[in-house]
Amino acid sequence: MTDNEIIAAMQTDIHAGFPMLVKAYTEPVYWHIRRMVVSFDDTQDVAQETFLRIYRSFGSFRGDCKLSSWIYRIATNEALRFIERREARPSAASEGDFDAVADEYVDLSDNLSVELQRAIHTLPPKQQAVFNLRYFNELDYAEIAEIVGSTASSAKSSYHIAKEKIKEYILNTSIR
Amino acid sequence: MNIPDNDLKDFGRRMPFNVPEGYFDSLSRQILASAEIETVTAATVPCQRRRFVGVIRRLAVAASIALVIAAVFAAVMRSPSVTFEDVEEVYSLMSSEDQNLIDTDYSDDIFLALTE
Repeated sequence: MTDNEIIAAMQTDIHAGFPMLVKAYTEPVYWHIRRMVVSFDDTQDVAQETFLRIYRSFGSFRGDCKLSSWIYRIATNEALRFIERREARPSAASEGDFDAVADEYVDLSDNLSVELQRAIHTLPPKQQAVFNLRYFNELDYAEIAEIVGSTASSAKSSYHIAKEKIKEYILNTSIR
Repeated sequence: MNIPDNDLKDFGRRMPFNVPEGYFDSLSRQILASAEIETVTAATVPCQRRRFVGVIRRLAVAASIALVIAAVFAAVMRSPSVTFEDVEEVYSLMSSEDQNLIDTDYSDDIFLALTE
């Protein structure tokens, strides 16, 4: 099912179109949020809130960007809002502490991928979003810029800085 | 830990996160159920708004009643139903003492003079 088919269905009858959108986007949106939020339960809450927001505000989708960009933008904003609230809690773990938010749904025995996630989570949340969208989703910089509200050159620069920081983190932790 | 070729791509895109079996079907159902609740809630006028609408409706009814009363009053004032014959009849029923009192008091009344 293409984005255009989903848009047409949503515009004709949102009750018929929304299940199509949910079917197409639940998994990618979930994983995008999960990479930032980490916790299984919290990701579920943020994902649900994301789709409710999409449902409520579809009328404001003007089609001036790709449907996927619009959806990822809402998901990213919801995840960033959640992380901000979580870090504001008095009992919050220090910023970037991946292990503090990892739960039983994180396979800590997978050393290589866990180490990469630990490194990613040392980045500021918005830079994590840029890195993840490029590294895991393989989106182009123009689309990443639409999602995070920047320019393509800024997104490209942010990704390369993030990548260098991650490599440095991994190098330092592997030396220790 | 060795960084393979010092390039992140060699880490692959594998993630350490997992979800229970059949999780996405269940999540999709929950999302659709939430949207359904949202629709039902949106279709129901909130109590606060309904109370406001009630007040507006009552004010409108009160204003309509006031308007009808004012219109009837104005119509009555414009065309009094008391005729000269009615006045004559009441006058004839009065005692001669009262008739004299009225004649004396209103003898100079210009409007009564016109009716004679």
